[in-house]
Amino acid sequence: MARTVDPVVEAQRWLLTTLTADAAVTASAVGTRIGSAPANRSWSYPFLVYQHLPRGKDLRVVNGVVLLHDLTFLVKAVGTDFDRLVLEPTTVAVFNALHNTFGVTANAQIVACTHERPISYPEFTESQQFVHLGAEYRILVKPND
Amino acid sequence: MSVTVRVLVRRNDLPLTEERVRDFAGELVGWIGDLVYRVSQEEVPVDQDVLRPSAEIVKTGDLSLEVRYDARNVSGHNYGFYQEYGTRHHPAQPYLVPAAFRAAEQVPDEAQRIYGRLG
Repeated sequence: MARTVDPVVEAQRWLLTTLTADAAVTASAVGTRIGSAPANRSWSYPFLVYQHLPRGKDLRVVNGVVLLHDLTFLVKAVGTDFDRLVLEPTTVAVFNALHNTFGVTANAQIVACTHERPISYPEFTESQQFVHLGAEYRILVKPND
Repeated sequence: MSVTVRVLVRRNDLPLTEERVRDFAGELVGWIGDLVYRVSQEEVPVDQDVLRPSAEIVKTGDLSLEVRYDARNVSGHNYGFYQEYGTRHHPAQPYLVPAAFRAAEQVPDEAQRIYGRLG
């Protein structure tokens, strides 16, 4: 059967809805600067971005029926180096909003979302240092089609 | 940016001598390293073709190796890591971790094949 729902898009929709609806996330330093990577260039720092990361086979299939799409997303706050301490409450709020949760979109069920591993690294430019702080999350998506 | 490939022989339930088990594990490590290298070379972003030629397989022990991408940006920092996980303006373009996942998926079949030949 032809696929009519893109599970990555559905997972992104759910992430945006969930993160922007979470009062602790939007009350943190990133505010409502939340979206898919790359970040809007007009945003000030810090901001929160998410992105699908390919990780090998992402389908759970039984007898030709797709049961689930097993997807990995990077969800990270990005700020100037001075923001490191400011970003930690954001990553905690994101964890609380996403880990061990589930939900729905118009076209899919988000069967589960779990924290996989933390990600933290600096980014250096010639004149400034930035910090990326977040985690990989595993999201199981079951399309409604 | 690097991926480490390591095989730990915790217990030998195979009807092979210890020496043959080490041959088996050594061959498997080499095969995984080659596959991670080849797949990552196909996936690596090639905008300036700096990252791809920086790749190497480095043996780090009897049963371990690393697939490394060691290109540096103008500030001397590891460019490969920024490609894998993204920068503030650029999304991630993963090339090495997906290669490791693809290799891991094929390990059971390859292990059977090597064992069939050695056993």
